[in-house]
Amino acid sequence: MATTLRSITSSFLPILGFFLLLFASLYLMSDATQNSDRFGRLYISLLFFNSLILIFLLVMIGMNLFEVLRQVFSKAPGSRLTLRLISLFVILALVPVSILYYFSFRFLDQGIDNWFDVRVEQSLEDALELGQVTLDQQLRAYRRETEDMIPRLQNVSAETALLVLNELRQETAATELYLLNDQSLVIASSTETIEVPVPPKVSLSKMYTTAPFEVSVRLEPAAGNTLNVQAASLVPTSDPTQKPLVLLARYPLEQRISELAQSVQQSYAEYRELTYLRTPMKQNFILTLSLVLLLSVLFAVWAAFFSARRVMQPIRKLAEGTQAVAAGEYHKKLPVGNRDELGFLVHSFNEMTSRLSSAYDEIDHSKQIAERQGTYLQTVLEHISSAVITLDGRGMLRTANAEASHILETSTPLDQFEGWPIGDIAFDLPLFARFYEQIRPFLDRAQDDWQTQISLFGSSGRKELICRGALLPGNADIPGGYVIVFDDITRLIQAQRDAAWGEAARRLAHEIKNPLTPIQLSAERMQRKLSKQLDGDSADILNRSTDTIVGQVESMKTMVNAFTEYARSPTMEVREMDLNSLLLEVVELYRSNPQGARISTRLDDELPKINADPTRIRQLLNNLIKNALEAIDGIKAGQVEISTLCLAESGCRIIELAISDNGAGFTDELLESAFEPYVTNKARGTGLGLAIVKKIVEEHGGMISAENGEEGGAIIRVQLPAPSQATAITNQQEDA
Amino acid sequence: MRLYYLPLIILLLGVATAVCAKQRSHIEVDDIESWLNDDVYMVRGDVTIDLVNPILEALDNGVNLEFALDYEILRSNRWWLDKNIATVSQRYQVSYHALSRQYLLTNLNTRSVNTYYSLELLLDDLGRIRDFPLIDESVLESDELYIVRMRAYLDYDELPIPLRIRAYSSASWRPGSDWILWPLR
Repeated sequence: MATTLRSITSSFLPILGFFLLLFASLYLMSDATQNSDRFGRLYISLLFFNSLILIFLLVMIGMNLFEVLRQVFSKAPGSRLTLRLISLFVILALVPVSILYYFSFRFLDQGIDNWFDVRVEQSLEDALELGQVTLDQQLRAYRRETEDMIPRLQNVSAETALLVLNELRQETAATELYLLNDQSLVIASSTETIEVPVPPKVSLSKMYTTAPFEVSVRLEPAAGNTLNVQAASLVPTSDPTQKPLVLLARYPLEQRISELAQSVQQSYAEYRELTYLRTPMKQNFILTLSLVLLLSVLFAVWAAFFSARRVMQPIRKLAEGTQAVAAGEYHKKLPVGNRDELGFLVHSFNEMTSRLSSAYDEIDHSKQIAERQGTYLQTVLEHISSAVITLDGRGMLRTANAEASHILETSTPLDQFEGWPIGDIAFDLPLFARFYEQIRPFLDRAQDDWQTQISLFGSSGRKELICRGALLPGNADIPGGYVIVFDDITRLIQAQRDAAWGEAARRLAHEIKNPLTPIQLSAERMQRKLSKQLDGDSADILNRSTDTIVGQVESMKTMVNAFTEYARSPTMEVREMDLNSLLLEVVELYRSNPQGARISTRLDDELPKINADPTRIRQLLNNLIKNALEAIDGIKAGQVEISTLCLAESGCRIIELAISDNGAGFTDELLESAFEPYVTNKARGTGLGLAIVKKIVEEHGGMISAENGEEGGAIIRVQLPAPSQATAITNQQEDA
Repeated sequence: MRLYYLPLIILLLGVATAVCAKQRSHIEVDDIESWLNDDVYMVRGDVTIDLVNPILEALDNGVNLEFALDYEILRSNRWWLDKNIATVSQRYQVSYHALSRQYLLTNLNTRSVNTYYSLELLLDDLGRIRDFPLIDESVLESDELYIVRMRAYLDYDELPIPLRIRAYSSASWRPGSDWILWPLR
């Protein structure tokens, strides 16, 4: 119902129709108030109908007011302005109507009283009295005439009565004469007209009580606004058994007198009625006036609500639209209403939102392109084999691909540290810390386009990284940062080295080893053939020389074999082994050595088992101990100390084997290339001992380093990876 | 304690109501009957019409009063509402003729006018129903039961408009009898 009412109240035509209905109803009522015959009968219905309209309007206004107040309290856009407009309209309507009402009220109250004048009333009464006096004279004349008739009607018979009556009528001014018996039945009548007139009704009983022969005369207002004079009298009889008859006579008043008298009567009656009805009439007028004005005011108030809402509608829509745009709804469009300034405003608003929305769409589009490019770059970065890290100008991590996390063995993917200062990330991740330490000089110098090779010790052993860095373009405000690309080239280097040495070994076998056998055979033949022909001294010389040749050739063969051994491609037979027990086994062989050195061991009991080829590790240990013993050759109280250690800093995932002696130690020159082939400071030896050690270490993914001890002597440290606990368990299960 | 006065208050209220009722104009049907006379049902009865102020005052001040005697002939229906067969309304206008100092009684059905020197005589005459022909027997069916109901009242719809609103709002302007029912035989 509310929506129906709202739809009725929100469009213009129903309002106009309602106004016309109200106007018509009020017109009819004002007409009816004038006591008009046309609408007089409708008056009460109209009053009722208008009261209904009044209630309807009150309800409508109440609903509207409630709605407006609700909007004001809920702070709906435009509601305050609507309320102000409505107040303005209502005041504009109320003020003139109130003034009009006040003066109309006064006019009605006093104006109606002014209609009635004491002098008019007096003169009307005088006129009435004059009429009565005049008529009384007339009546008296007719009474005498009637009295004169009575003697002639005494003792008249029924048959002659008609004749007598006719005579009497013609002799006198009477127009109608009737003779009635005591039963009110007409015995005889004489009238001027042919039509049968109705005899005047008289109260016979009353008449019989009056004195006989007394004629009663009175005025008789008749139909057709005329006045007659009616006379009645008993007609006495001489026969006492008979009841007296009744004579009725009608006399016409003179036309002019009758008219005047009736006019006076009518005016007097109307004036009396008006005077009497003055107060109720005034009340009636005031009621009608109040109702008309009240309805007009209420209609005006309602119209005020209506027009305020109509005026405010585009403004409210605009306010709502603005709020929507402020909330980010850039596609908001408002319906364009009229072609006035508000319509122009709405039009401009729509234009603004369409521009905003197209700009927003453009931004959105660009953002999508950027996002696509970002995704593309991300995909490329994730799938290239190189590790890529970018830093911004302040040294914060911007991107890091999965390969970077893989190479640097970070427990958490590096991209989760996005936005962290690179130094803080290094704090948490040891491998990353070493990496950062080695590239830091380049970063600090802000060097553009650099390249370096970095060695790291990871969980699976030594890692060789080739690392390139370049400055990213920045602008005046923000420095560009760095892009760092690095690759794990450990296997590449290993393969290159293996290939190089493999080639060298092939050549040596071919170029050196082949001539040795003929040389040896020739020397032995020479000794055998010539020693018998030569005498003592010469034979000795020959024997010594050929022995030397044979010995040297033998030694060369050993050297070539050793070299072949070094260059041979490893066929590792890796299995789980205990380094400590192997070490003790090997050391036992060297307890009695030609150098007379004391070999001591300091082994870590907690050392985990390693995955390694025992044969090659045995060779490694042999070479290292031999090397150490050779270093202390000729030194009194030579000492060799062998220790194993589980490096706690790596979580026991790296074990260290250290062999120290109290020999001369490395020279600075030697220290740099101690593990290169053919580098030695000894008179004897192939120079391949430590090179083979390094090769074995590298084959096991380990690292080797040489240094001089603080109290002299050389220390060689071998670091080998221990399988993590989990790996170890897996391996055990596989073994089982 | 105050309850002691309660019967007195009720008594006073009763008296006041009675006085008020006494002061109001009223119309009452005293007795009424119908009989068949030469195939026409005739009515005879007496209606008491007692007028006091403000109606009397209005009449003396030139306001015409219209009285109505309404008869309705209903066919009795045992299962449903009685059916109205015919309505007869006798209407009279009472006015004061200042010039002749008489009251006029106009029968609005016949337009005949009677004059009276006193209002009591007029009202007596108005209330005296003698041999009023109600309805022809031929109109009615012999095997049905008919009921007549009658009432007399001042038709306030015929009052001048200013008084009409008062009549709507005050019972003292609306004298009228209740409906009197009797079977038609």
